[in-house]
Amino acid sequence: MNITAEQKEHFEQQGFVIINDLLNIEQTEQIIERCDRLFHTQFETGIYPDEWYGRPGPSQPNATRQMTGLWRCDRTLASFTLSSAIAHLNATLMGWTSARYGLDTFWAKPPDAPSLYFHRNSTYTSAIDPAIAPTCWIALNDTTLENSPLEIVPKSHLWHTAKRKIRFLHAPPEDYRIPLWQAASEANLPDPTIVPIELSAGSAIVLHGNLWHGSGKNNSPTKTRQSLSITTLNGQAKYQPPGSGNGYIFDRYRMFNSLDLHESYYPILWQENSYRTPFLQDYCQDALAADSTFADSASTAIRS
Amino acid sequence: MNAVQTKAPLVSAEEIEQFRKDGFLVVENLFSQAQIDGLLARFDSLYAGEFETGIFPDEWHWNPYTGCVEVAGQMTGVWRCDRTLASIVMSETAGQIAATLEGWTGTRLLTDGLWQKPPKAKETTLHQDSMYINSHTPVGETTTCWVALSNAFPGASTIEYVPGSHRWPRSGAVPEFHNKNKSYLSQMEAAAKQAGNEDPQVVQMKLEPGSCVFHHGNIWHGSGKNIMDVVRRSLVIIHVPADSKFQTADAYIPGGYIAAKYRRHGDDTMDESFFPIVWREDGYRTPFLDSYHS
Repeated sequence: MNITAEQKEHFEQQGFVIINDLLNIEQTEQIIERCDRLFHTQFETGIYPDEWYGRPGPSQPNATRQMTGLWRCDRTLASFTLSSAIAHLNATLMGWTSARYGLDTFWAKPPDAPSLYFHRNSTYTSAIDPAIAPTCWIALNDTTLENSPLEIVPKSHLWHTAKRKIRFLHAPPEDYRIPLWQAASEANLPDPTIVPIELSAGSAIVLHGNLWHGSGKNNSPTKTRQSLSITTLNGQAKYQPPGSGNGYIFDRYRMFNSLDLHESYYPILWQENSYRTPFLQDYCQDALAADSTFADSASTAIRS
Repeated sequence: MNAVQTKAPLVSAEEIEQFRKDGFLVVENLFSQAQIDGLLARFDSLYAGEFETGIFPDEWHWNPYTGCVEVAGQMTGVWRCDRTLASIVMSETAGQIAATLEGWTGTRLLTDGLWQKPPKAKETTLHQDSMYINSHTPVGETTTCWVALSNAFPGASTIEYVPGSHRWPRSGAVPEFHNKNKSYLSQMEAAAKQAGNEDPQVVQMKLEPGSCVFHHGNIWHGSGKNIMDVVRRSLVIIHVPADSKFQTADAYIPGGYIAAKYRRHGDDTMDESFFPIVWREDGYRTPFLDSYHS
C-alpha cells in the first residue's frame, strides 16, 4: 500500500489519517456476517476470544458489543485482521520496518447504545515496548453524525500527560469526555476541539496510539454502527519489565522470565524483507494480498 | 520454594472409592473462612473490572454497567487478575486431593472460574466439563474443584450432579450455558438415554462457604434457577494431570475453547507460565507461584 509523504506528515502532525475505500462492500458485509456468528457463540475454530462484551442474553439490549481476539475464533476474520496490507499501512505511518499483530476488535453500537469513554489506545498497550501502536479503524457501515461516529481530538497525540490506569470504557456513569477534559487540563489546553469522523462503509481512519478518542451515544433510532479495528505493534516489540504498564490482554501471554512476544501469540504480519510468521500460511488466507487493485483503488483524503 | 509433602493422606481409600463410584466427592472446610472472606471482599470489584494486577480475565460475562439484572455472571482465568484469588486457586492441597482422587502423579492448573447467580438467575445447562476441556492429552482427563463462597443449598442454584454419569460416553458441547429455551436438563437426559439410563437422578448439594466438591471431568452437572433471595457465589478450580501436553494439531486445536489460545505452534508444551503445576508427588511446584500470590 502506498502512503504518500503528505499522508505520513499529516499522521505525524494530526495523529490520524483517513483512508477511503480500504475495503469494498462485499468485504465489509462478510466481516459483519462472521462477527454476528461469533456473538451467537458460533466459533469456527472452537476457540474463544480474548475479550467479549455485549453478549446477547446477559447484556442489556442496547449494550455496545465488543469482541477482541477475533483471529483465533474465525479464519475468515483472521484473513482480514492478520492481513499484511493493513499491518504494512499501520507500520509505514509509524516509520517501522516490521509489524506484528497487537489487537483486533469488532465494535457494534446499536440504536441507543451508550457513550464510550474518551481514551488513548496506548493506555491499553502500555505493557509493550514500544507502547505506541497505531490502530486502523474501519467503518463496516456508513458512520454518520447520528449513529455514534468516532470522535477524535486532532493533535492530542502530542500532549504530555500522566500515564493512566485502564478504565472500563463502556456505558460510563458520567460524561464520557471527562478523561479528555482532565488530560487537556494537564496539557494546558483546556478547550480541545472534538472532531466527529463520518466515514462511508469500508473507509478507515488510522489513529496514532496516543490520540484521544471516544464516542457518544448512538442517537439513530434504526442504524447500528459497526467497525473493525486492527492495532499493530512494532515487529521488534518486547514486553516491558513485569509490573510496568497495564497488563490488559497482553500480559496474559507473557512467558515467565522472558520479555519476548512469541510469534504464536503475536505473529509478524509484515516485514520489509517479506518475512511473515510461517504458521499464518497454514492458518488463514490473506484477504487483501491477492487484491491487486487494493493499493491502487485505496483513494485517500486527508482531513484536518 | 518446593512444597512440603503432606504425610497423612488427604482423602481416605473409602473417599477415593466413593469418587470413582459417584463421580464427585465433598471435602468440607478445604478453605478457611478468612480465605473466603478475603476473596469475597474482591468479588464485586472484579466483576466491575477493577483488576489488581491490571490483567483482564480470559472470560468476563456480565458486568454491572451493561449487564441485565437477574443474570448469572461468569469469569474465567481470574488468577492473573487478582493475587488474593490466586492464593486459593493455586492451592497445593486442592491439587494434591485432585491427583489422589484421579491417580495422577501431579496436578496442573488449567484455569479457574468465578461465578455468581443472583436471585431469579436462570438455570445453568447441565454439561460435562470435558466437553470444553479437550485440548490436552490425556484426552478428557480433568477434575474440577467447585468451592462454595456463599452458603450453597437446594433452591439457591447450588451445584447439582447426576451421580455415576461420569461413566456415560462423552457428549458434544452444549452450545449455551446461560440462556436457552430448552429445559436445562434436556441434554443430560438425552445423554442418559443413550447410556441406557431412562431415569437419571439429579442431586443438589448443600455446602458451607469454604467447603467444596471435587468432580470428575465427565460428570453431568449444572445448576437450577435461583428461587431464593440470596446470591450464590462460587469458585471453580480446574485441574489436569501435571504431565499433560497439548494435542497434536496443525494450525489450531478444534474446540480449543480457552486453553488452546496458549498453545505455541509446533510445540505441544503446556507452558507453566500459563498452566502452572500446583502439586507433584516429588515436591515440585512451579517456582513463580510462591512469589506471585504471597
